[in-house]
Amino acid sequence: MNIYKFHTRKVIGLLALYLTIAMTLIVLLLPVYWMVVTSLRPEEDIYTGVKLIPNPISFYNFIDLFREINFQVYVVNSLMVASSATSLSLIISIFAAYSLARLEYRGKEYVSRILLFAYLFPSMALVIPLYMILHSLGLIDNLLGLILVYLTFTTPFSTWILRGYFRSIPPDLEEAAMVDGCSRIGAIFKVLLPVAAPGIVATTVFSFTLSWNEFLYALVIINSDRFRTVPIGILGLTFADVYPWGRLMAAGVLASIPALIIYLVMQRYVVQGLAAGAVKG
Amino acid sequence: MSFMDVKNFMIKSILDLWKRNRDAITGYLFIFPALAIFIGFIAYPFTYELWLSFHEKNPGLEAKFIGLRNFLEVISDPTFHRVSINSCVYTFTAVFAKLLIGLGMALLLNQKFKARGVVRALVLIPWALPTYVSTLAWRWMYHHTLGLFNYLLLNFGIIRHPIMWLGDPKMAMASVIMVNIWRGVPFFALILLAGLQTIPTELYEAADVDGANAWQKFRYITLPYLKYIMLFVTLISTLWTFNDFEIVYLLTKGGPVNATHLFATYTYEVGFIVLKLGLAAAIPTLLMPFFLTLMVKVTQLMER
Repeated sequence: MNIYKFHTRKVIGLLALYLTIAMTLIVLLLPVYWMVVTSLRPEEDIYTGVKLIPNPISFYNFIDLFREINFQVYVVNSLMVASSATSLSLIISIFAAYSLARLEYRGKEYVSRILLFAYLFPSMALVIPLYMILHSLGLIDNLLGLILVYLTFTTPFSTWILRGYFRSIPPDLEEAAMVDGCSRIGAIFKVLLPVAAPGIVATTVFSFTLSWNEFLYALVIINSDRFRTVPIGILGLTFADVYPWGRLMAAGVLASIPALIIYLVMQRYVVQGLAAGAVKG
Repeated sequence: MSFMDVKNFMIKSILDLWKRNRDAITGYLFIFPALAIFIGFIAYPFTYELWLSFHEKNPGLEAKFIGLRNFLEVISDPTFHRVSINSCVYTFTAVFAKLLIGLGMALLLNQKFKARGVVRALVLIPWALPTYVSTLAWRWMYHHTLGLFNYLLLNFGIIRHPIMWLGDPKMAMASVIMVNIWRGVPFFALILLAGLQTIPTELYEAADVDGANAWQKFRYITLPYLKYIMLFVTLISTLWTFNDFEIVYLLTKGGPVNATHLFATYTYEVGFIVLKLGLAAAIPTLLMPFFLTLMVKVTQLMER
């Protein structure tokens, strides 16, 4: 009798657990599901009412993005900006992080605090002066301007993460290499970086997504259609108050793909990155 | 002393300096580019912003010094009062909800169940998506006549008339907060989950031996262990949520009748739509003491 009672309680507990998990997943994934469903419905079908499963299915929303709107231009711009900002900041941060993790000098703790500060600095307090500075440099409506601005968050972020990685690696190997006549730069590139490869990959991925997803600076700095990055390009799909939902959701699906692939592949590193505040929550 | 002696002496002392301080000099050289970015793109713009907030500046015209007039105009502006209240309601409600739900979700994800790894990965999706994408999806679900929410609520008989999610001033704030919570909860959950995993299981075993119930274990083991990580995630999220722009900009543009206007969207509007750059600069300047306090606190917690 007692064993039976115990068993029922356990089953109910498990059932409640799985039910809660299912509910949580439904709530969290509903907008994504809805985006995909809408992107697969023909535009005229969308206005006939809500359908939980798309029928008929059409890929015209996706095709139209490339045929009637220059979505490929936005993608190329975004790729250029995100990869330039990421690689530039990666090079800068490898040296900065090495400096913070391996070398001793006066004022180091202030420097590391300053970089953390730089990462946390609210963009709303920078957007107006940065706009005016870029304006006086003639870099408004210019992808180079956007790349420079993105360095303000990718560099401190990458430095902070890499510093942690470098610190977790014992310096013995590099020291041995340097005793054997390897230069410091050689020791960094031939000894430290291969060992820190997972950290480098994670940092690259996060900087890239931070830049790929950025909205406010792109909105302020880019005007002309041919320089638009994906978020601003998508915004340009709307005319006044008319929202072509099929196309918008199709564009949303395409814009999410890089981030999603990266997260599913990089899931192992995500929590470490989260702890450093990879994307604003 | 001849010229050659002086030259040799100088070369020797520079070499000496290099030999004695090799590490320090390399350290400064290596950190310099990162610091230069900080100075050029954060410290200098920020100083410029402070300067700007004491000036009247319209695009194409010279800046004119006007003392504290921008600040006086901002603090006597009824819209700014509305915006301040909105920002506080938005931030504190969203952060509080994210903390509670995030903690619940962390406890849930810490249980043993099948496909736990997959679930943990899926939970991250709202946070991994670009904010502007998910916000547009929410805008579509909030649609008055064709939206998913009204369809579901009407069909389940929960409401009789469609809700104006974004058009009704009373509803709009709740609707934008919902999106922020949805987007931020995975961040809270995963950070807190990471915290939960550092708690030694022996503590719970010892508590079981002492006959503690689930609540007591949570109250006297879990919570004290999570204290700092909870503080960290709350403060950093407060900083970000106060700075939030995209969700409101894409859902309501601050409307209806300023009901959802936040500091960031209002600054953007004054600066880039009304084109009063000096006045717009005064808004973040006024908020800076608050931002700086939060930043110092978060920095201290991150350095622990």
